Amino acid sequence: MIKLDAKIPEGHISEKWTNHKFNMKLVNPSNKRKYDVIVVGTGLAGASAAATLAELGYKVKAFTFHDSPRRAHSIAAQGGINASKNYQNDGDSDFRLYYDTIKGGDFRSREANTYRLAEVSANIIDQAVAQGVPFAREYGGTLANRSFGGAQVSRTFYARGETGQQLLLGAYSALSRQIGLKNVEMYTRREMLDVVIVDGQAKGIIVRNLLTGEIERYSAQAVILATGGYARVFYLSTNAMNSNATAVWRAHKKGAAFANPCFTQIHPTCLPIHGELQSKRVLMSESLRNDGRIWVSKNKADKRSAADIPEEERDYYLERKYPSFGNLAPRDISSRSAKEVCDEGRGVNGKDAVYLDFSEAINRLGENVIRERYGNLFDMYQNITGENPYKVPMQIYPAPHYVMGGLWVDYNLMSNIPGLFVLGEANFSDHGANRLGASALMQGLADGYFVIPYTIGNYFGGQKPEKVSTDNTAFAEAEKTVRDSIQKLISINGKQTVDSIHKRLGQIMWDKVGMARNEKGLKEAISEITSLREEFWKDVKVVGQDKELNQTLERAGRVADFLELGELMAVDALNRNESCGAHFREEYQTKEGEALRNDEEYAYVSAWEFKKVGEWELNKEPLVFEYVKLATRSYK
Amino acid sequence: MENHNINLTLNIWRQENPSTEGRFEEFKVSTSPDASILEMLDELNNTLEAKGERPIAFESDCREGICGTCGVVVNGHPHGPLPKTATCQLHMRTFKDGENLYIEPFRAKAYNIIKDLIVDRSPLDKIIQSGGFISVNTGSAPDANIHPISKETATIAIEAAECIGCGACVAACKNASAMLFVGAKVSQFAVLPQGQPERYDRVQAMVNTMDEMGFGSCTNTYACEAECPKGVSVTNIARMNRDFLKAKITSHALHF
Amino acid sequence: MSWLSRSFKTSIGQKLVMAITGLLLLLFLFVHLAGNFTIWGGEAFFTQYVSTLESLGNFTHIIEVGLALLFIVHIFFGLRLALQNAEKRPVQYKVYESNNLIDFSARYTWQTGVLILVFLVVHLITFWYLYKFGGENRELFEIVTTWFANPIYSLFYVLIMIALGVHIQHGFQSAFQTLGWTHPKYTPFIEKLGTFIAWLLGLGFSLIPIYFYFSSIGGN
Repeated sequence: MIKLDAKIPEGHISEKWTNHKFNMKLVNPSNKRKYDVIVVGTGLAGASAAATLAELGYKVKAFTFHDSPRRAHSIAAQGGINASKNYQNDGDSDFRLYYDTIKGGDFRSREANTYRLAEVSANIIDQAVAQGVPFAREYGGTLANRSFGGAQVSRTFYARGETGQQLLLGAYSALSRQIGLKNVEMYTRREMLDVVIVDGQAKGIIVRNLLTGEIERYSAQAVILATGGYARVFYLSTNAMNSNATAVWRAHKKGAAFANPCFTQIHPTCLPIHGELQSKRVLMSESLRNDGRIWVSKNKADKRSAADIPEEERDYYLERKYPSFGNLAPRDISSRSAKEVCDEGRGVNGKDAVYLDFSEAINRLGENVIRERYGNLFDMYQNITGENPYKVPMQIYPAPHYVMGGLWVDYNLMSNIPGLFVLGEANFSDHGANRLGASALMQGLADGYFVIPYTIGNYFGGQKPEKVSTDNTAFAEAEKTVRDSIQKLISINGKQTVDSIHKRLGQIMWDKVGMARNEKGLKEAISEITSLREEFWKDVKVVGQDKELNQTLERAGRVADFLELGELMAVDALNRNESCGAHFREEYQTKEGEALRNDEEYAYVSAWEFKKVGEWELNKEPLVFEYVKLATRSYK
Repeated sequence: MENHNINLTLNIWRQENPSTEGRFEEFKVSTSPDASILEMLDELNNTLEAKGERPIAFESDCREGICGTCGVVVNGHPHGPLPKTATCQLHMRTFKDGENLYIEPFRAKAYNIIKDLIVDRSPLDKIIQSGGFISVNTGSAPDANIHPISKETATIAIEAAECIGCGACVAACKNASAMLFVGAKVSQFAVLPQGQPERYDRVQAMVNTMDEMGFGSCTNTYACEAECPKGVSVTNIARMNRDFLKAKITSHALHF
Repeated sequence: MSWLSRSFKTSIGQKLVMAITGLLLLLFLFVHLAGNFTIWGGEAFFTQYVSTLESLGNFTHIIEVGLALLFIVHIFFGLRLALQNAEKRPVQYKVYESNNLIDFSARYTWQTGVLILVFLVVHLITFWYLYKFGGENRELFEIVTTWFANPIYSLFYVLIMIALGVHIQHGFQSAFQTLGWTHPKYTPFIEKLGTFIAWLLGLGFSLIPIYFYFSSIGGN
């Protein structure tokens, strides 16, 4: 049993962070250089943390498996970043942002963390602008905002459809500056394969140099994981090809609790699957739903083209079911509704796709207005599908996009392993069972710029962790585990390619641990994943050697971890006998088919402790809500 | 969306490691026109792996045209023949049945070939590390609205900032010059009020590093702009030139 | 090394030298063309122009030295850049199409430059050297008309003037780009002006050999 102490500070929710900042131990500026910090991952959270810690004077070693820190998948975020600046004078406040986030997360996140996120959000915008991030502006030169799903105020800052790119390049530039100043040692093309624990504290990592295949050891007094999410467990997702769970999963196997693994966000507006060769799903900004109307035929397996289906035979199902929010219903609801109509066989040509139709908006506003608003997205659509969305309706279908689950962390963003911190999407933190649009960028940067710089000092100041040499036996043991596992992968020499097994895992996850889950399906998923995992370890074929650049080997290691994580996701989903946010259990729904939460029994964070492969122990962190009233989300 | 496959002959550059000689290897493939060129390569790699042969090493990540990881030269064009399209967004319907494709790595003295189609573009990072930033520590930023910035300026800044760092400009240029990449970053900060304090040091530092890294000089042919997947404009190069000249004439810094 | 010499070694520094010397040489070409055009005024007028230049004495010499320096610097930096750039892609592409997307004049700038250099040498030997140090006391007008009566010489001259036009077509707007003088309002005009100047100088310089060649045939 793990002792889960969330370490939530005393005081009113609006004073907790301030109090905590005052009460935390400090490290004298001249002592900071005596502390080494390892940061794994250079996305928004990792790059901002590495840069900020280096600015403070810590000795930082940053790692990424990419060729450059700028490639992290934060770069692909389109829509924007929320902040409670209240520049629009429309009644926004820290409390409102906190409230929207906690409600959007269907009351499954920790109040104190969520409030702090809202509290530091405004600083993020100041910081980004000072770095030269070119946010959209009004004619008068002030910053522009737009509104986003799940909020009634305009608080989203954006840079065209490339907000993630611009914010990441801002953090990357801050990191680059510290690399240039030699305050950060940057290790690119290194993949973390294990965390090293000495006397119960995280003291270093084992990485594989992806160019040479060499296994390398690095030590530090604290390790920060900012390695993103694991939606690639579904094989097809909007995540990047190389996004993976390996770093967090290896940490989990070393004792870090994994929280809410089943909370996975399925994004409604993605391009449908074009065929077997598809390698990933492409997201189209949610903003399209402002002017596009979503519909399918009322008939099953309707093979007619969209133009041939008359108005009275079309079912605008979101407008029908949710008259007040209509096509702008939240992501989870909108995704699930698409699945329902497609499961009924009413998808486009009987396939898994629904129409997103702009013809009404084009008639009303003219093609030019639509081009102005969404031109780049329409071009992208045409480029990928070969169809002109000004003439024929777009086709969309939901795809896995973001994971709310991740390693369990306390208020200080430290896992249950002292010295092991987890930031950004990699932790379970602030989004509960569903994340609102434009909040992922906010959380990654909040963690990296404004939380970890304080809380890591508290850890150093309080624990005074010792330096450990990489000659320590713990390093040797960890390195041996890593080497053995690599040797095993290379030596199996079976018949199935890594991708083919990954695709099969993805199919199981999508069918049974996807948008709607039920007990039978989850149990099947667990047994299917278990046997697929056995098959993998008997029959996978990894071509090439370990002492060279070997992309197949890289993928094999990641898929091996997904095959364990996938099972835990099913186990968690099976345990959670309720529907909340993105987790929809078919057994638990209202008469109208809406999610039925069970606050009596499930108002807790499931923190899973690794026992052995396929075996976990559940630890619960109860969620206490003092400042909001638990309510049923309604978007009718 | 079409259904019938197209047949292609691929000539792909194979090179074991930086120190060995490379060569073209021919592959015959039949693939879906709806697949991207990278998905076509994925499939080819799976076929090769199933046969126990070494797959083709190539890089990609987001496959949405924004991360800048992917990038090969297809039939003489970095990122392929379609304008404003990254390799990952290049779909096979662009090619005709029976066509011959030449797929090569980005070639430049500054980019070492690591393996097959993978090259080392870290010199671009080195340039950024030498000055591609605004020196502002976390926490010391003033309120975000303190500098009103006109739409015109904001537009220039973001159009420069859209560079994805893929390095195709270098691959396209006959001189393997990185001027478009550097010009874009210099420009983004040169037009913004936040970038003014370091404006003239920045341009000199970044140009010096660019030269040290072994990139060529700009002969204003603008092949970079034509091949840039984001359409970054060469006016950014002009702006950098202007700032560089002004820095040389007026800046007090003698160490550049 | 001082900041100045370091600056001239940078890529942009060298380009700036090319741009400034290039624009100054262009000015010289205008003066030269205007001088050439005195030939339309007949032999006496042309000879008078030549002797007026000579009567300026040291002033002409200073200009000549300056001009020679401009040429030398422009040629030296141009060749150095071309050589430096040539080694920036040690392994060439099997198929290289990017270069075909660009303007013809931009593709062959250093090549047209080398042609002009060859011409410059021939031009100096056949006119300037022959006139000044040729020994016989010939009038320049006579030298000019004699040479241009030679079809091969005239053809060579005209072809090089086309190369000059191509060189200027790229070089003119390129100089503005290098100096950073671009603007969405004025750059399109500068590009058109560059094309106009390229045609003007190319045709202008070509007219004389063409005229004298054909009049030499007509005279026979």
